[in-house]
Amino acid sequence: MAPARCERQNAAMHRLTRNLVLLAAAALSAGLPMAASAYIDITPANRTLNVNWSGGDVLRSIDYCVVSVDGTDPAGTTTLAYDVRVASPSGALQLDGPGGSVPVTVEWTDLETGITQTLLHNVVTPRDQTGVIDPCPGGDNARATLRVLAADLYTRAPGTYSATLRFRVRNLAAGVRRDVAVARLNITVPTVVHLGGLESLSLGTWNGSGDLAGSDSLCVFINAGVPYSVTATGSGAGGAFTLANGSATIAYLARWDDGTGFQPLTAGTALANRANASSTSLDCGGGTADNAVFSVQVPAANLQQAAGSGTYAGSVTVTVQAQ
Amino acid sequence: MKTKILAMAAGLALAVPALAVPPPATNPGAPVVGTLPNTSGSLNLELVVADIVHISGLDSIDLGTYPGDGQPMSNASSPESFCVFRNGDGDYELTFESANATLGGVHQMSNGAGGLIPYSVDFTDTAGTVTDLLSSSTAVTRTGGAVAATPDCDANTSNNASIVVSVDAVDLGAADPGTYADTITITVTAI
Repeated sequence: MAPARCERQNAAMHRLTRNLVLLAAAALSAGLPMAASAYIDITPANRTLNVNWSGGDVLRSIDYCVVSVDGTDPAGTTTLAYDVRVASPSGALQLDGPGGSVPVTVEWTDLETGITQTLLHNVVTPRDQTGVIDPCPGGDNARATLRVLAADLYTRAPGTYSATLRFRVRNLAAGVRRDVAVARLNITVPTVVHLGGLESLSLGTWNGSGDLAGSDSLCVFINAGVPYSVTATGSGAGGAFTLANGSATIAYLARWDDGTGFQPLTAGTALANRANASSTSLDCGGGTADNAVFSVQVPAANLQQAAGSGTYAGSVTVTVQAQ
Repeated sequence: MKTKILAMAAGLALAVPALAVPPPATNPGAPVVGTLPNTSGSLNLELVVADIVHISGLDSIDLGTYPGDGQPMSNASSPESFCVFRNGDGDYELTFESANATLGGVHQMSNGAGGLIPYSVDFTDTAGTVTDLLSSSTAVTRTGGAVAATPDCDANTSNNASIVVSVDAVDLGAADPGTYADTITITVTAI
């Protein structure tokens, strides 16, 4: 027997025994004879999902077998529709961690009908979910889908964010019956570093006098809110800061300003202890609050020594690292 | 009779290429969904160096007073040196235009009263090549050879060109007394 099926059957037997005992106790306490009732059971009763986030939206699902029948025999009576509700001890559908809360969206799919609906915290769905007999002979009949958006994870401090979600299913016949499954979602967010806003620079045309220069404002994002180092490498020989026209080259100077003033960059060497990285906006408010400037200057003396007229081009690779 | 020539210079820049737009950077904005954000990116740099020519260091040439000795006059003993700069050792063209050139383009000095004295101009470049400029409209073309460390040949301390102007004795002897002068406009053009 497949482990999942065995698990469901064991759980079903446990539920059946418990429900029978409860029914008997209720009947005895009321002084009434035992009456036919409903039965409902959701398995797996517990499931923990651990995610080491490496980018992108987090999308995880759990398939459930929801046995919902009229009567006390889970395998031999008429099925009943059920409703479902999700709730979290935190009071909201969210993961909690060192950087605050992260919303999680929960969807419930009736696999018998293919209909999916979004569950809201502590809101009961219509009792229109399709129950099946034990032990889901056609396979699991419900699916919970948990979704956490990457955009919500990027800006959280590194650490583990957790949510406990209690799915309660309930039917109604001769009395209300309910069962609960608990899903735990743990997402570990690493240190996230992002360099954005790089744009190519046209330094202009040199007509014989003055320096040529250009700059590009950038956004450095580190969710850990720590200093960073920046390393720039040119496209010249050995990573040199040079522009080329065939075999002719022109050297240039590169600098970095993190808001505390321009500092010279040495090709291939990290400039450490830079500050002011954003930890709240991945793109610095759409570029409106960029926090670094990369600048290039080509001294006139270097241009004067150029081997000839023409277009000189090159590239710079800029890397930032959290410290 | 005094003869004086003023040399003027003009530098021209030609054929400036249109500034090309460099290709876009490789990490212009938001991270790609499905991966962690980029920690590095590349940007492209581009500049254009125009064709650049420059001429400097020209001074007036005073040939002195003709003593009537039947000898030609020139500044051959002290050529007027100047600096021709062409970036990248590129080709260039020089013209020496006389302000008093008449039909036919002969270099001439004028006394301002209709009197003219023709003269010749010899141009010597860095390589020592001498060109006798018979006509004011003659263009001298050079392939390279105007390399200078700086556009002004280190403040004209290391000039790379010179001119010598000469007046034949027969023309001097036939001229009316007076002061004769001309202005030569030297134009260097990148080609």
